[in-house]
Amino acid sequence: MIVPMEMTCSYAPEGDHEDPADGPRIFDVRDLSVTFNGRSVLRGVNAMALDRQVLAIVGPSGSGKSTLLRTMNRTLELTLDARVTSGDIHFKGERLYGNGTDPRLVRKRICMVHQKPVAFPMSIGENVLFGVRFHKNWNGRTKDEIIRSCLDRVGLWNEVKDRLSDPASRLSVGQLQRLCIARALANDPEAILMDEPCSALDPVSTARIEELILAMKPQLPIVIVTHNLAQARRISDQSLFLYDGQSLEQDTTERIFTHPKNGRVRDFITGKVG
Amino acid sequence: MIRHFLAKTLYWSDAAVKKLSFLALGTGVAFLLLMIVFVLRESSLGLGFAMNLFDFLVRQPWAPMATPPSHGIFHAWISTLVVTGLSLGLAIPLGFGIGLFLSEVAPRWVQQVMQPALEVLAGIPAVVYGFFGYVTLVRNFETWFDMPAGECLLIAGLILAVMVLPFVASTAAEAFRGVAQDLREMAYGLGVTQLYVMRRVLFRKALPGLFAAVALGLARALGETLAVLMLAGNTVAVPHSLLDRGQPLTALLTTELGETVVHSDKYQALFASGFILLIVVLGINVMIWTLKHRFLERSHA
Repeated sequence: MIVPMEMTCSYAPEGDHEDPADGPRIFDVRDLSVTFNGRSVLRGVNAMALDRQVLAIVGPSGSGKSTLLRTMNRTLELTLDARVTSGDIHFKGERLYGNGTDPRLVRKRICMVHQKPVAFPMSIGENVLFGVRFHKNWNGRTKDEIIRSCLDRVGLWNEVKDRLSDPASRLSVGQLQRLCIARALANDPEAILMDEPCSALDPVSTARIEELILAMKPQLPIVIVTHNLAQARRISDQSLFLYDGQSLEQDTTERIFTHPKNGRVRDFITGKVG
Repeated sequence: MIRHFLAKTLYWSDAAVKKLSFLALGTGVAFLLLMIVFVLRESSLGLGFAMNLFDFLVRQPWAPMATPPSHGIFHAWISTLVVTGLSLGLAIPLGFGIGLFLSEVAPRWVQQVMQPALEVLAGIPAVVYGFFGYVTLVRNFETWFDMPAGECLLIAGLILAVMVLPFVASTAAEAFRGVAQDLREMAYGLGVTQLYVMRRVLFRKALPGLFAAVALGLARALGETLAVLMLAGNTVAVPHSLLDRGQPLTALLTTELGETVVHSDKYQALFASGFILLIVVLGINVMIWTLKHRFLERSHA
């Protein structure tokens, strides 16, 4: 028998409740609903991410974590039949789904790192410059400076500096994921979204990506989807729990992992349900 | 006991599938080799022919009834070159464009209508295309360009382009569709335009399939007979412009072979031109294969 559980999302749109933590809101997801081919995937989701913090989105498979992430930089609409039916997301106070908002500009400002790293069919250096060449955001830097600084930030420079013109497909999966992060950083984004960035990686590469996330945190807000509760606990400041397309609870990671208010969240965290 | 019998049956069925598929492959390759050997034997190509190759290809005219008779195919391969070049020059960019549109831009219902339509177009017999060209372009060309007879290399090239287009377009569409969706999302996720993704990612990734589309189109264009026979004018003369009449190699073979004495000089010359056509097709395919690998290395795909 399915026992209905209480909905105790501790976060609500601005004005209704106090923030679970201090700091300016960067992302403010308000009552967001999404359908795929008419089927409801997200239902009235509320969430928020704070500046210079990591927000982890956790929950069981099929709960809508990746869908929520993809709405946050408008890559969702690249999927046929996916539609935001109600609600909105505010990014630094601007509506992402407002009339006249250019999705391309949104994607330039909020970059996404995907679960499976994929190399573009070009050299390592050109992979880093992929977005820069289009947006022309050189900001007085030469292409060599951009390549070096971005690869340096992700700790890849020393490993690839002698083979920048080699095909990027020759890198290992862990290196490729760091290259994907460097490619995003080259765009000078204002936030980074990560969709299970370590799920295809071994423990050593995972540790490097986690170090990288913590190193990037002082400069950028980061939203990460993860299945790995231990990882969410290690790297995030805030955690949002999604279940069946609904946001059940958002709070500081410390509080949500020690004193979850929602029964389902408690069951998930304590391992009663997988 | 039953388990043992089942295991043995499964083992034998696997072995039978392997043997049958190998047999099918062997039969196909054997037919190809036999055909090459047959064409070579009938053309009596030997040392003497190799020495006269330049005369055969360039210097001599095609005049089998003259005294003494001469069997040069310069006019024919020039016509083949013009018609094939023209048709591929039109069909390749158009076909790639259609492929890109179907794979990347078109709404789903357009894709669902267009893909089968291309297959239908590819399956229409050449004689229908030839007839269509005859009643539309040939008649009009006579009026527009004040020609006594409208058949010319330009019309043959245009109609051949229409015939080749469905092959190129559907193969190109498949090649673009074959590019992983992840790659597209990742590229669009950096805020770039569709055109930029097409130019810098899709074309490079789809390159092997696009080369296959070109090879397929080329083989179809070089080998097409009936439509060019109906539309190119079928005249033994070296063409000097696109509005001149010509006689591509395939048309020459079709026209002359029926009224030729077996093993005569003319018969051997016709088989020699057939062999040259075969070598050209094989050579171009090898060239495309080499180019493909060179491009792939350069584009890091």
